[in-house]
Amino acid sequence: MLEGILGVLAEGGTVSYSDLARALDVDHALVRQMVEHLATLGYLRPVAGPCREECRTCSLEASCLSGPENTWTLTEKGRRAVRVTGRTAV
Amino acid sequence: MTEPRTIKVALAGQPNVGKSTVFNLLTGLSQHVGNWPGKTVERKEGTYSHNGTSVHIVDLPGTYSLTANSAEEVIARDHIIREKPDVVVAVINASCMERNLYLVAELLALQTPVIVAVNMMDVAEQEGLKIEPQVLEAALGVPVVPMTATRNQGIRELVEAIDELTRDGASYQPKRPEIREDHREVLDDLRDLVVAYVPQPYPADWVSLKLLEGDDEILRMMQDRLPEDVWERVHDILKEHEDAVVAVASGRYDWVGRMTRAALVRPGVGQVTLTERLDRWATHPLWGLLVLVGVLGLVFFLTYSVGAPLQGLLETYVVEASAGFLTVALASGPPWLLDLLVNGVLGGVGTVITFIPILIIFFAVMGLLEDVGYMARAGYVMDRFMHLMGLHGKSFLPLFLAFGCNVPAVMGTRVIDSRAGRLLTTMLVPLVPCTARMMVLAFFTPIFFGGAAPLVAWGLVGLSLLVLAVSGVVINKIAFGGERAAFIMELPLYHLPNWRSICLLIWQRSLAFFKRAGTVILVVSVVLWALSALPTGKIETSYLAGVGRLLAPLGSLMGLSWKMMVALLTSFVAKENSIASLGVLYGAGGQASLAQTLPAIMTPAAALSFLVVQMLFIPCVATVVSILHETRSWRWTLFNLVFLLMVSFGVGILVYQVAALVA
Repeated sequence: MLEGILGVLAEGGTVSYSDLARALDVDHALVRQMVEHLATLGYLRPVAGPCREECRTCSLEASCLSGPENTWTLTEKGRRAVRVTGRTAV
Repeated sequence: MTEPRTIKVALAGQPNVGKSTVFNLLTGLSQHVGNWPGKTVERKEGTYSHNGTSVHIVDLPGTYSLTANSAEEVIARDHIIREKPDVVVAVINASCMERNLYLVAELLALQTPVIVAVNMMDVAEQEGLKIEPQVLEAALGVPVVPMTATRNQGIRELVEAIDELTRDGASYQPKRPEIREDHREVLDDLRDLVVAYVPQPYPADWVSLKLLEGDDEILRMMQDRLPEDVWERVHDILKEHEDAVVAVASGRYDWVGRMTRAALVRPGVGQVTLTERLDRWATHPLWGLLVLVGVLGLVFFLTYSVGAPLQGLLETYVVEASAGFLTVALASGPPWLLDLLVNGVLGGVGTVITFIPILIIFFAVMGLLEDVGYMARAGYVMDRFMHLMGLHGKSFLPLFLAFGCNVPAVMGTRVIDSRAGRLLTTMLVPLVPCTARMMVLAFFTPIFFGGAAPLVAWGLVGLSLLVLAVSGVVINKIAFGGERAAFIMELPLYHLPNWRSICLLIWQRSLAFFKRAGTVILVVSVVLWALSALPTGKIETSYLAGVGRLLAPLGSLMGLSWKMMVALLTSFVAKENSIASLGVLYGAGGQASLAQTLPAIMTPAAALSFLVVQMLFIPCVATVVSILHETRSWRWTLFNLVFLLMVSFGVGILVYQVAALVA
């Protein structure tokens, strides 16, 4: 299941939680949990969202276009795993 | 007389699943509250009697899993392993079963029998979820008790289930999650290596699994107990399979997926929420794009149809009135001061300030789109195009903001994670026609092209975006090796707009714009005024004209006179300056006469090339300063300027030559 998410990321591009839910035939809530779990394990990290570090010094922070949505990307560890997973899974 | 039977029960569950309510209902007043040994975590215990059995209950701290991530998780698992309760009651929230079942998957890996108490059935029902406890029981292979603890429903059944399971354990046949198939052999190897050294009461299977998961506490425990050669082999296996934690967790999620698919029916299949229904259109590869084009069209329509007349009013009643007032007030003062204030300050900053209505409306519409949740969809839809340039859909957001003003767009590139993506987006921002350029376009196209003006204007906007896309592909290939990133994006639910936050957004963005107009733009306006006035006081013989004449040979390739080239140069201060500059340079003294003069002295081919260069030219100084500030690199800032000069003049020459040939 988690390798399914990494496998989708191996193909590059942006996927939404709904895309992943459809691809893995699970509920949206489970996708969110898995994504957060992969982040806890160090495979993903947040790139946008309310707590993003880089935005703290930006004068537009209070009116930022990035909005409240969460966006995640692979960490170096995640990229390494994707290189393996991309070949073996999904 | 026989001693009454005594059993031990542990209550496990995630925070906020109603575990405390279940505990209170079971134990009533016979509770004892203390702390877990050596921890500041609260420990609650209590007892109840049923069927001649005294049941001792320990309420474990709320945990999301049993990994050694927190003190609570360590307490919970240590209690189950060391104190060996007869039963663990896993309380789960029926309205978010998926999330809760992961903990159950972990509990099943321990040897203690588990009962699943599906609490908050009423909440699940309100949300339209249909849970089938019998099916879940069959799928899990463990007793399942549906409950609504807040209404005292299901407590009796839970007590019965505990009693039954502790009396007859033979029927307990849990279907445990398994590690992903490709890692089963590794797990077996690991178990064979460590089984002889696993201390009591830890189960060897569980310890092996936790080792493979990289659980720090278990790693330390086993390192202390394993002979050095065995530890080295274990260590080698773990190093080779450092991603095994994904395989272990995946096995659990597969299991959770199977359980929920079996026992959980979501609100009438086929019936979708409003967000999903809207997203079928808004995020569709084709329709989503058309929706986006429509939305953009609407944004421009509202901005210009409402903002442009207001801009005209400001021009008349603020800038021109101020100029008139200054002329009268300073009639007896030095002429250069009047010239500086009217042509330098009012001409530069004043003109920029008149754009505030257009910006406010643009920010308002954009803020509205953001607030209702559409902008995330716009980024998502644009993503596939952005990827052609090696950019994430998020790059679309700053690029879209650039339609209003390039300055906040450059600052907005901070939403992009990678430096490469941020740099590339920053380089492309000046190719997006900002409101000032659009105004220049709106001013010149009717003069040169009459009835065909709207077509020419949209063609020029299209050309800018085409050049942007081509530049993106080329810069990405050359500078960044075509790197392609991957992202997971959560699209927020659509919701009604919050007008307060939209007003706040408009205020903050407008304030940032005003600050820039009052600082950078003001200074550069004055400097450029000085260059156009010195040393003779006449623009024709000024330093600026000298520079313009140097550019004349280049201008001739595009059919542009030195005055047109100077007008382009002054647009460096603020795009709309090119209008004012031409007015001054051609001594027209106003827009009406400029509209008469220009068509007489310029061919349509030259006019077209002038507009093309204007659209693709280096951005205004405020944008350049922002680029320098954001990239913190002179090299990239200069590269951007040189690149844009080459592109604008290159395309300008091409357009002029082709148009002249055709004409």
